[in-house]
Formats: sequence, structure tokens, C-alpha cells
Amino acid sequence: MSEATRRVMIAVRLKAVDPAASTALSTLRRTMPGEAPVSLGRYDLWELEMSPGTDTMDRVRSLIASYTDIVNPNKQSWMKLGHPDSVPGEDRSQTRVWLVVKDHDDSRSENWSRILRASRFGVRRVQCGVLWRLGYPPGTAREVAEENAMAVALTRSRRVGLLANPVSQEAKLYDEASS
Amino acid sequence: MSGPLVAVLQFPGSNCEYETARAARSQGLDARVVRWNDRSAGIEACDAFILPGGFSFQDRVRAGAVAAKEAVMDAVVRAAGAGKPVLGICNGAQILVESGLVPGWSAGNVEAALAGNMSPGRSGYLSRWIYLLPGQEVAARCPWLSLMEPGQVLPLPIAHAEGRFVFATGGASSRGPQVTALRYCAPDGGDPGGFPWNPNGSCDDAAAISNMEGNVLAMMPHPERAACLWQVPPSLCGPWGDRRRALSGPMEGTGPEGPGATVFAGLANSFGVRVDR
Repeated sequence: MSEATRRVMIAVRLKAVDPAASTALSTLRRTMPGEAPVSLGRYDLWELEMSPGTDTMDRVRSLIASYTDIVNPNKQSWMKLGHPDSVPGEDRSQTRVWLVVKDHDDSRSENWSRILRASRFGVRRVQCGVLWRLGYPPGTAREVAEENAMAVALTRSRRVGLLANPVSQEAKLYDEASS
Repeated sequence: MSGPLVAVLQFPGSNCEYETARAARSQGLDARVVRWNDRSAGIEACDAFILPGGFSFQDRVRAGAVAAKEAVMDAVVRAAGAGKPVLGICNGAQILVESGLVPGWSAGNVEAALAGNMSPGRSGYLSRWIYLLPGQEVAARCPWLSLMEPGQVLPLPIAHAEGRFVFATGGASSRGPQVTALRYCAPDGGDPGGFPWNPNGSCDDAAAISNMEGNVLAMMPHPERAACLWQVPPSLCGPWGDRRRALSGPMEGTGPEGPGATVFAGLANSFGVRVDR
């Protein structure tokens, strides 16, 4: 990314209960009860590399309003990462860990990059992924929560891991405080 | 029916179980659709297992990832370890990969993935007919492919969004050929040379991989959708297309066999079952 380029991360969630998050949580409680979170949220993640300009967020809002494939306002809502206060309906007392899962090779991101580069919004590159929010009981040390989150993330066998297959995907902790 | 007992496992979201069972029955196998949570079904006694195509658990999290952790898969893992034949078709293949049953270099470890299709200028779901060659090292020890001749080109349909075999580091170049059971090829059996004959960018042109023993086969193409000749599109290239174009008039029953029947006939053959036609 060039110095002048600005990266904007958008997280898109279902307004209704997310069935993938519900299934993942029940599966983890059954297979990895020691490491499973007590709450789990799932978001479509869009990383947008935007061309320089003072109106970056205005352009992002216009882009989102123009593409219902990115956010369908009838069933989804979105937030810009870095503003965790905008996340609705959460138990804020939990120790929260954010986890980003991306494919190593991803034709969806390549195709969206090509589509949006040709648009008027000044997008240089798009990378798609999934953002998971894992909530651990209040008082859980951050180090413990992060260790457990990585354990449930990386699929090693039928018994260990779920959220990412490390053969084709990467899973990284996302630090909301430093974004 | 008294042939070898084959369990066709139905997960929530499977959608090919009945035609898969029908294709197996047509080869003299006693194929039964078994729900994933039916603990009274006694599947331990089955002689072989098929995980059919579809969208188990709605592909939540990742295709096959949730079904791989279901209790019924404990029985499948034990059966595979005992040498019983196990076949995963499309979503069933994704379940076997996420279970670590294939390629099985280190027992139980997940060492492969079925990643999203990669082809220039397109992404997502792809449905089309493709051509396959048996992998020389694998087909001979795989019951499902026991009737395939070396160099035999097999046309079958695919329909998937995540069908690109990827292997753990070091696996693709050195160990991939040991487990690649079916390869994408051009209609004449030649090098596919990328899209469209390798439709998803799969490593080593792999369309199906097995475990090292050969009794577990994970294949992305759908043989059950080509078990009858009438299922072959008349526009298809090659001898199967010729046979289909020659097909005319009313048929009795399901009519002549299509190219996909060889997979189920191979299993029947490995059990010594012969069906007179």
C-alpha cells in the first residue's frame, strides 16, 4: 500500500441472528468446551484501499449505498472498524477477541478489486474476509482469551479448530484498540 | 436386496442422497440413505459409506467443516481405518478433507483444503461438464476406480464453488501425485492447461484425491449425475457424446449406463458383485 493510500475496514453483519455464528458456537461448545467462547459474532470483512483524498469516508458510504452485494440494507448493517462502540447488542463486560480469516488466494477479492477500480469511488484494491468476534467470560485475561481464540480458529483435526483451515486460509488476531 | 450394505449419509443440507443411492443400487449394492443423527441405524455394520453432495449445514463457517465434526463421522473414521471403502462426492469430499481422512499423510490431521475456485475473471459457483483421467499411482488401489483403464477419459459434471484442492506445505509437488486419484484433462485426455478444463485452479489438476491406502476417495465431480446415458448432454465431445447422440426412442427403466456408473460398478466389482445387463 502506498503511503498516501488509506485503508478502510468495513464489517457487515446480519440484522437477524447469524446462523453461521450460531452453528459455529454450538459446534465449538461440543468439540472444544475448554476453549470455546461464550458468545460469537460473525461479520463479512471488506478491506478497501482507497486513493488519497479528504473525503474518503464519504466515498465509502457512497460505494456501499451503490452495491447491495456488499451491504443489503434490508438484512444487513455495517460499521467501520476502529469504532467498536458502534457494535450493537453485545455484552461489553466480556473479554472480546477479534479474529480475521482470509483466504491465501482469493478470486473473489481479485474480481471485486477489478470491479471497484473501474468505479468512481477511488478504490485501488479490495480484500474480502470474515471477521469473528469471540466473547469470553468477564475477567478472562486477554492473553488467555487470545490463546483460546487461536485454538478454536485453526483447524488441525476433527477435534481441534474450526473457524479457519490453515492450509488455504490465514487467521490473525485483530486489535480493535490499535486500529 | 442382499448385496453389500452401503450407507449413504444424509446431513442437514445434503441434496444428492437419493440419486446416489439409486446409482449404487443399480450396481447390485444395498444402498440405504441414513440420517446423520439416526443412532439406531447400526451403520457400524455397513460395508461401505458414501457422503453425497449438497450443502451440509448450509456450508456454514466453511463447506464441510461442521459436518466433519459430527458424531456420525466417528463411525466413518473407524470404518476407513478398518479399510472399508468410503466415498465423498462434492460436499462429501469437502467433509472428508475437513475430517483429515484424505490425504491422510499424518493420521487425523487436516492436511488439505478445498478452497474457492480460482479462474481468471470469475469467482464463485461453477456448473459444467469436465473430463477426467485416472491417476496412475492411485486408481489401481482404489475400489471405486477399479474398473477404470489407464488413460481412459471419463466425462462427469461438476457443480461447486469450493473445489480447488490445496495441500499443506510440501504436499503439492512431492506427495500430491501419490494421492491424486482423478485429474482434470482436456477432452482428448491431454494437458488441461488451466481453465476451462481445469475448472477451478486445483493443484496438480486434482479432481479427486484418496488416502494412501486408496479406500477413501474424495471427488468433486458428481458420478451419480451421470449414472445413466440420458443424463449426458448430447453436445458432449468424445465417445460418450457419440453414444448419447445415438440414443433415441423410448427407454426401459433408466436406460443404458452413463459414464458415472463406473464409480459405483467399481465398488460392486471390489465386492465381487456382478449385475447382468
